[in-house]
Amino acid sequence: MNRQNGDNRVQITTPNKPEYVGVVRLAVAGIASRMRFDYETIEDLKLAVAEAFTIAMKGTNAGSLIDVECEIGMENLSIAVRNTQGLLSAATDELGIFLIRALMDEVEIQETPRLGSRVVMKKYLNYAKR
Amino acid sequence: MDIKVATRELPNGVHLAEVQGEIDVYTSPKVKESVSELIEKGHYNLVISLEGVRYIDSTGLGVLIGALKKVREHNGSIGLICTNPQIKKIFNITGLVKIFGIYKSEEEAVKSLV
Repeated sequence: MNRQNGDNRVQITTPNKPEYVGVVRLAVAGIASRMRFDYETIEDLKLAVAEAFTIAMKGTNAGSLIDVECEIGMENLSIAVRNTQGLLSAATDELGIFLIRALMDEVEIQETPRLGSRVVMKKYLNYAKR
Repeated sequence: MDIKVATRELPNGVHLAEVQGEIDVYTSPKVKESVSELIEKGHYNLVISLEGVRYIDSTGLGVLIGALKKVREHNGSIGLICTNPQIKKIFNITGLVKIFGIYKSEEEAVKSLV
């Protein structure tokens, strides 16, 4: 995988349906595997992205979509998850957010005027950890 | 993505639910349904085997917590069988290791309940 420019991006958009959480989990595992994250970290990433997907699903109407954007950097993988309605129930889903914070190196709930709110999380490759 | 839950009776009135697959927001309703069915039938001492579980998220943990609350209302309890380090890690991170008894075998789990 060419990561020299640090600008590789993979975007996955799925229906707002629980059956797609496994698809997103496997896609992120594939990306992380190609970045040479170790097995345990890949499992952590799978769980974190699934938790963010579940948070993004809650409190939205059927028919909306979930956007998962993976940015493959030189030293880290950044994953942003949002639903197309821009609503997140992060405040009410304490266990999910707690797990994401415990498993990832950086976590932010971003509020943007255009896209609404989204969960953005980052995991560094071992050699790049500060 | 499949989830399978098989239930059977063990000695001393303990009931076992063996879960196989991945427990997430899609599959956890099936686990909840199977465990709730046991509780509704009056089985309040349960062993839930997670030996066939490759993955669990917060919705799966929620199902287990909900079931434990229900059986405790009837002075029952739940013992979990789990040896997968990745799954055990989730119980450790969330502190649920202090709430659930987690055992290596069916015998150990049953012993803790009777």
